[in-house]
Amino acid sequence: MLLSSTGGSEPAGGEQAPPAELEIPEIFQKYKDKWVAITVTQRDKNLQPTKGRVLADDMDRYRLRLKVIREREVCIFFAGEPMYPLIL
Amino acid sequence: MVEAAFQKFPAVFVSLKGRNGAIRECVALVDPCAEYCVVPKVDAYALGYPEAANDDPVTPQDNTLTFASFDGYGKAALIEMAEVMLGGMSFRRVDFVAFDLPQVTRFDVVIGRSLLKSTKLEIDYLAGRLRIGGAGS
Repeated sequence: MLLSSTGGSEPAGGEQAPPAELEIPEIFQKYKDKWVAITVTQRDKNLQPTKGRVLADDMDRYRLRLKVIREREVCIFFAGEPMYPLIL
Repeated sequence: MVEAAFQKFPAVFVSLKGRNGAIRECVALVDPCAEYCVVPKVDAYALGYPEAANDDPVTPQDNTLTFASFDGYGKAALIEMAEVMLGGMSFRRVDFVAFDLPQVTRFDVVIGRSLLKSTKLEIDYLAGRLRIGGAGS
């Protein structure tokens, strides 16, 4: 499992602690304008994720997927809004 | 049923279970104007659909779909997602197009008519509320 490159969850000593559990709005704040991959740890009554542990983050969604390629179950999203008006 | 708040774009977390049993959960843009649901090619591949990675224009796969978008005509692999989990609802064998939306849109999954046709959708832009469900499978 890969840890976030900027998540600040890497301990100073050799052994790696599991990434901290964060609320989804906290993840949006901490990883603003990045693609994020998380393990969901809590859901609301609609089964929408409310908390998770960040496995990896990246500015590029393809690089992010490479970082979590071994994960069988992962949740991926962009922590922000589109920079430009959207026409699809 | 699933109910979610949104700011600018109606979007919801959705879990996609592929034919290899792997699961990818993403924020999906809910777009009733999209004929098909959309999943990135890289995720389609990870979910057990290697045919989605075929970019060979000379020998296209049998499941190649030609579609029209804001960008003109395009071609992409049409795959059948084993299961889509949306809130407490589960939809089996949903058609998806394996296609990479431009990364700058910040969305990589779209829930379109190939799923929405079997359920009820309410989008309240005034209140910023999205509700999907009712007659789901």
